[in-house]
Amino acid sequence: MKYLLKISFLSFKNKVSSLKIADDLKAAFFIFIGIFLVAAIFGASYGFLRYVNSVALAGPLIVNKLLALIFLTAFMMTALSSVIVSFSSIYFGKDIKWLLSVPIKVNAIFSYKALNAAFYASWMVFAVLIPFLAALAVVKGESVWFCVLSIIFAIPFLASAGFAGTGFAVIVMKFFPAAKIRNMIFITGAVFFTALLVALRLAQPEKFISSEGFQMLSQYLGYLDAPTAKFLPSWWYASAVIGLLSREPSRVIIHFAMLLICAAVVWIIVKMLAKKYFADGLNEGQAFAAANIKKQSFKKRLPLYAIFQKDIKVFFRDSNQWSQILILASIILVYLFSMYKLSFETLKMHNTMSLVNCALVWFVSTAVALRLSFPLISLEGESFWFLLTSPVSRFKLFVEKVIFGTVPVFVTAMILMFATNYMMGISKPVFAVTLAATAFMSLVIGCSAVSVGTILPKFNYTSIPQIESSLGGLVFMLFSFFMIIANIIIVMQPVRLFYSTGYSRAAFLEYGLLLALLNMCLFCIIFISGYNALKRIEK
Amino acid sequence: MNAIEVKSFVKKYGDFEAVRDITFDVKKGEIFAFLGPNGAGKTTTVKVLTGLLKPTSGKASVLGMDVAKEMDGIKKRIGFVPDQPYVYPYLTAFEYMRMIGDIYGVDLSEQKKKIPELLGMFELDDRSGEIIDSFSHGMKQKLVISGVLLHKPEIMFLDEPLVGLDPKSARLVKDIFAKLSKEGTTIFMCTHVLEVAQKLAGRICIINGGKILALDTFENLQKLTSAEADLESVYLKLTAQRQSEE
Repeated sequence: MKYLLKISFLSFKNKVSSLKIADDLKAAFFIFIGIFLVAAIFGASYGFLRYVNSVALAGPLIVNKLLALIFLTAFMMTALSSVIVSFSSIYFGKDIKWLLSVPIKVNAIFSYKALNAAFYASWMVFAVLIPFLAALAVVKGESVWFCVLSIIFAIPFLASAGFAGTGFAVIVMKFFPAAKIRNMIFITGAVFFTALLVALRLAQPEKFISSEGFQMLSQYLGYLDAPTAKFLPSWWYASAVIGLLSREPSRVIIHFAMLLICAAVVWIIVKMLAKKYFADGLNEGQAFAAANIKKQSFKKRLPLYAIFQKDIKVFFRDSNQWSQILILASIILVYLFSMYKLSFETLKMHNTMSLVNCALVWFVSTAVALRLSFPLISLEGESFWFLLTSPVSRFKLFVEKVIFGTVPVFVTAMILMFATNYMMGISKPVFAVTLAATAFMSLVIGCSAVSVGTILPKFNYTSIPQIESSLGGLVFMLFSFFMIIANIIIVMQPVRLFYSTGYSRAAFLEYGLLLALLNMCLFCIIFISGYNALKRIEK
Repeated sequence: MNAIEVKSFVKKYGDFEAVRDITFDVKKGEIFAFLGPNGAGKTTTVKVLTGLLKPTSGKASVLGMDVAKEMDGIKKRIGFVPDQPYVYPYLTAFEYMRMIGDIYGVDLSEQKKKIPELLGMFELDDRSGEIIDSFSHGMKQKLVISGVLLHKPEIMFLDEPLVGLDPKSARLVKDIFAKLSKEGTTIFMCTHVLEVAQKLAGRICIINGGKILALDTFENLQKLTSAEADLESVYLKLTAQRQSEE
């Protein structure tokens, strides 16, 4: 085990010592983005918790309920993430064959891999919990010790989730055919996540801050005070944190002990499972049976169309992509439901919401582009040599990628904009201008996703989320954010005019032209930058 | 006109000089073996000649066209088999072949005839409907070679084409190369299988540390090194000389 940990340590050390100035800049940029994100999470959590905490009578109870729900979500996300990481790292990892060939006990290899999986599955949740707990401390007027202790409590809590995910992966590998597992697990994971997201939204959490749905106030308070999933570590963790807040040392000690015991018990069970099934699962994991696609057609195709068809086939046959689509679909569904539930009492609200909706639709489009369009060049990966040595010019290749990446963004954005405008009963001129702006924006977002993905590709990846969360993904998100702001500022003018003085054809035309011009310029600049980057790519 | 002409060609990766000022040419229809130890600069040279990398300085031309300026024109007329046969894992073997046919503009009637023929020749016809992800390394290698043969390039760049092939397929591939060479196809081959280079190649170029150590026919290389045995002895003698010079 110590040799294996040494490998991780040496890899990290060598990576740090081989950093160059460009890498330092990249690292500085990442640190800046990281600090920005932590500050944003802290700010958002602080605002929200302060508001909820100030609700008359039930405020502190609502905060407790929220803690339980947030920790439950964190637990589920870590466990699910651990299942996926365990599969890709323990059973299908690139180094597993080598590790098994060296004289290290299989048991130690499993322990090393399982600890790695738990770490990689939970570090992001852990990083988000820190500013959230800090915000909670500030809202509740707690000391630094509250933060320190609640962060320490998070370690066995997340470890339980991580180990549980690995245990699930070990069982699945033993009892299901290996060829289907990779597909099955990604789809199950996505369905699970989608269901959780949709269920949370359909539960209408906004009702927590209103007792309207309850016949008696005592009923409402009783509901808030009741445990949430009390047999899961998420509730024990919430109880320990609530115990700190309410100065109940016995509650804190009991629940922290339960968390520690739970993590230890889950680890022991996982180790026992691994002792029995890990080796069998590994043998299964190396086998791979393929489907036989009988259809063989000889229709004439232009070279670009042949590449386009290749991209479509590769996309739909890759189960990683299906999970991405399911998650996106759930986000869109939740968004549509939220818009459907909105009611407007004043014209000013209508005005504001039409603009907010516009920006939100563009953010959803950015999320779609990040998942579907941004990874297009990186996904060529090791096979890129084929297209780069083929007689298709890099210009044509880039055009194909831009079309392939922009169409789904355009279609999603237009459907979303049309549907939400229709549901909100937006008046025709505003409907038209927001729809036109969305058409321009979605083209720019789609193109910039492909371009930034070409400028900052990530060819060495083990899963698609790694591409999305790379430096390029961050740059694309930031770039989109500024583009959305610029476009919203322009759209805001005719919309405001319409709600204040009525429809003015000249104003709508003037700002419409400005929008078209801005987005055309953006599109051209982004396209040229992306194309130049593709010309520079060496494999 | 030579099929390939390389003059004072240099390729750097940052400060590291992978290929240092090399000059050589390859005649049309020649089988040219490019040999050298790992990290000698063989793959880098092939990648520059096929458009995957850009030269740092010097001149390289393929079929009379400059690789730095006219790569799009060159690519239509060459074929490349990389050292690792990475191909789209979620395409079937048949779909991969069809894509090559369409991208390289192979006539549809020709595709109908040649795709089953090539897949059959490499014993992949039974599995042409399976996704490539399920193929072994050797099967992928055979598929990539089939793809190159489909569009009949004037020059074939082969980086370790025999790695992973079973003896029967390796023999088949060697016979195909010899036949194609006789028909006028130029073959530029990087290989560690010295016996193949000795048997097939018209000329042999040995490169080490980014520099050409020797370039001549096998017989002349034997004379040069006073080695009477096979190419292995010549190769080891030349590369050892270089190491002792360093």
